[in-house]
Amino acid sequence: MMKWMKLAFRNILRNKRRSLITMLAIGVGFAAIGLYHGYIHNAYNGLRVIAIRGEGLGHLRINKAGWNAKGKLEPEKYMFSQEETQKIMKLAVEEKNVVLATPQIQVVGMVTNGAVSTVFIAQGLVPKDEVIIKGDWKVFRPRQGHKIDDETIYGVEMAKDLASYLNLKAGMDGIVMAPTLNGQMNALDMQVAGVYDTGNDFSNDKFMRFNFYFAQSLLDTKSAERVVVLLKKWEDTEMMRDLLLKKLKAVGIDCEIRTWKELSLGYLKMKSYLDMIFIFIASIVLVIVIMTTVNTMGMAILERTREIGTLRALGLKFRGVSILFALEGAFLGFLGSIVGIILHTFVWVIIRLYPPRYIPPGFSEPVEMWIDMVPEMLMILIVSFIILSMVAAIIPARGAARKNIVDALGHV
Amino acid sequence: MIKWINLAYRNILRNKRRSLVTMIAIAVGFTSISIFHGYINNAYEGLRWLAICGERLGHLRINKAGWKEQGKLEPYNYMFSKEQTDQIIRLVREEKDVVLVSPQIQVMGTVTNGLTSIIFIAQGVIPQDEEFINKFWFDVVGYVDEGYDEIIGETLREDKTYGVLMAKDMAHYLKMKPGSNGIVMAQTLTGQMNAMDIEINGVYDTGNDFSNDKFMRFNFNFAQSLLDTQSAERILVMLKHWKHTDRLYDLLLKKIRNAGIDCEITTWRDLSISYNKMKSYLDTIFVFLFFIVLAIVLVTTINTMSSTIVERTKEIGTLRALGMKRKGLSNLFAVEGALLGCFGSALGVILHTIEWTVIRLFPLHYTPPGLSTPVAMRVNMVPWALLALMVCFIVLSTIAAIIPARTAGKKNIVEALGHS
Repeated sequence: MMKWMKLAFRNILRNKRRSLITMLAIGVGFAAIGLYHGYIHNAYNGLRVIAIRGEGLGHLRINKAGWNAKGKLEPEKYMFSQEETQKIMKLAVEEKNVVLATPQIQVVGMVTNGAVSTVFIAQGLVPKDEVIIKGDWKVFRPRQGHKIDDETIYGVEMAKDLASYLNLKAGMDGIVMAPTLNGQMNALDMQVAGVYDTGNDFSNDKFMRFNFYFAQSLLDTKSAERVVVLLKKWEDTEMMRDLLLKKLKAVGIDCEIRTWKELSLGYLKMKSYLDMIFIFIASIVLVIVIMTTVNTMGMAILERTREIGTLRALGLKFRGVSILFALEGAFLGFLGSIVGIILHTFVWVIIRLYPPRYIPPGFSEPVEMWIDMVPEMLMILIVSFIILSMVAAIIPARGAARKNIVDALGHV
Repeated sequence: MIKWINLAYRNILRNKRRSLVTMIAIAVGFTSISIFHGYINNAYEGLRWLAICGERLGHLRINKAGWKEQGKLEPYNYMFSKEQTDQIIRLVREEKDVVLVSPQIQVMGTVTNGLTSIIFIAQGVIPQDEEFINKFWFDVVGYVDEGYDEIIGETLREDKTYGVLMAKDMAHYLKMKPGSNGIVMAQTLTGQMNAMDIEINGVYDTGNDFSNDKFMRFNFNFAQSLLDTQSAERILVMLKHWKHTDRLYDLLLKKIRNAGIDCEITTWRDLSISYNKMKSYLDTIFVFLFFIVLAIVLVTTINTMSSTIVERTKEIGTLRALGMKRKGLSNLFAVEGALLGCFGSALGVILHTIEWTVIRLFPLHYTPPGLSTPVAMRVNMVPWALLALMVCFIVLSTIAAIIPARTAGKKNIVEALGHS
């Protein structure tokens, strides 16, 4: 085998410029696919973190059974009572993959600064759990003021466009009004603790965050609408959903669980869209690279028709000739991929050092473009490029090997 | 010149397979760029119509000066009075590029079915203008993407002011169907709470997940009486063609200011949140794809041409010995490269047309980010883009031929003649 490899390698060196250009073509194709993949890989990670932590969806959301269909219509029927909430939290936290389980409640109503009023959608959250969900990400912190806390229960966080419409800043007072669960109008004083950015234009003018107990008293209830579960690893989401569903059913709590993927409006659509573009780019690049390699190998083989004749005359089999060229193609693919990895790393470093800023669709502020280095993907790409260029070499080689030996020897 | 082209053409035919493979590579590159361009061209067009007609932004929106800054805070100060509204409508209508002028007003409040109440954001619109916009959209585009023309029930009616349209998710939450009754509550402009009875005329799809659970459409007069006012918040202007937007923006601004009404005008581009972002995003991907494909195609063509040139070293020597100049030699190869590029792109145009037809006949359905219903994927045929791309590919392959040809032309004639 060593001997074959050596021969193939020497053959590549025979026409250095042509081999180099082919390798370059393979390298550019490789780097293009690798970089785009690195980009979407990073984008998916980012979107996931935004969904789970930024939007505060957690990994799993436990609602009372039927909430999704009828919860908005008769909210009082589809809430967890205080005992149920405690029980669910206790059961969920028992699992070792679970970081935390926290009760939440949503309030929809009107907020006023005394002069004008506008609608809001607020999530009632437990402040200390909220800190854990948001984690260390700086972007999720309030732009102004501070987060909700347990000391000032009437302190709220307000999305930035809502705050600017109402002309409210951190530290200022306002009134929130909402119908309680049994349909009475209720109003409470509140103070803006902080102003935050939801990251999304559609929600920046409506969203607020309340203290869980504040939201409960505005709705005049002791219940929780949902329990949000945060896991250690997002890969466990599906497994934990089944497990918790079974566990909760067993203790007699009828519930439905949704994952962050189902709840996040943006993630799945963005993913399928980017995946589509990735497949498009990858297949185009692959087709062109194959063409290039077929062309190069076709030329090399044509030039060496006499050699092939000689080899065959000396007793080399059909298969031998194919293997020789296949190895040459594989080498080309391999070296081209190496060039691709170098190009990829080079661009990756440049983007790391000087990240360009852009605004992805649906975002409210520009973000830095990051590209992930995904070794597994690079490995897969190397293997597929080697196989491809081998195939591209075998196609013309088979034709050449079939030639009549005498004809081949006499080829000019 | 004809002689040169003839020679170059014959040279291409000398190694048919190699030329064919190169042409296919060029064609695939060409098609991928042109199809992607046709796709984004269609996507921009669709997004533009969605913004202008779907989101009902119109081409231009006239507000009282300062509305953007202070309008939400003190709405009563930033409205057009009835006389002003009439005056503006009259002034705008004079322009011949304008097809529609319509006053509108926005109301926010809560809507209840008697049991639960949720917030709503409603646009007060004039029913026949609504119909005009839908018709205009359909007439110009020839189709309206699935979901946008669907109203379950009937549209707004002038003679039934309390009839409203409700977005579908909202109707679902409130368990309301066309014909059901409810109550809307909102603050009047002076700050009093006001409530009125409504009847659902129809349920519609806003086309967007974020607004489908909040949006409603009222009759303009109904919205006015809910807000207890005779004023209009804004005036929507529709033009014959979106390309007139910027020109009419300047013209109308001057005209209305001259009439003594202090106003600000916003174009659909500034109003539509999604259009600009989606456009810049797709543009980036397009540029990325464009350069990658060009680079690979360039490399492929250089490869083909340089091996052609190496094969013909002897010929080059002969030509030079017969007195042909270096320039002539470059010309010969340049024309050959250009022809390769030309045939390759012609093949690309054929491939493009085939794919375009296939996509036309069997459109793929997909859900773009931010939309609520799947739409058919369409690819536009943009002749000038195909032409530009063709020129680009011809120039590129000419360059790819000249680079190796120049080195070959520099060779010593005697050595070139003896090359084997």
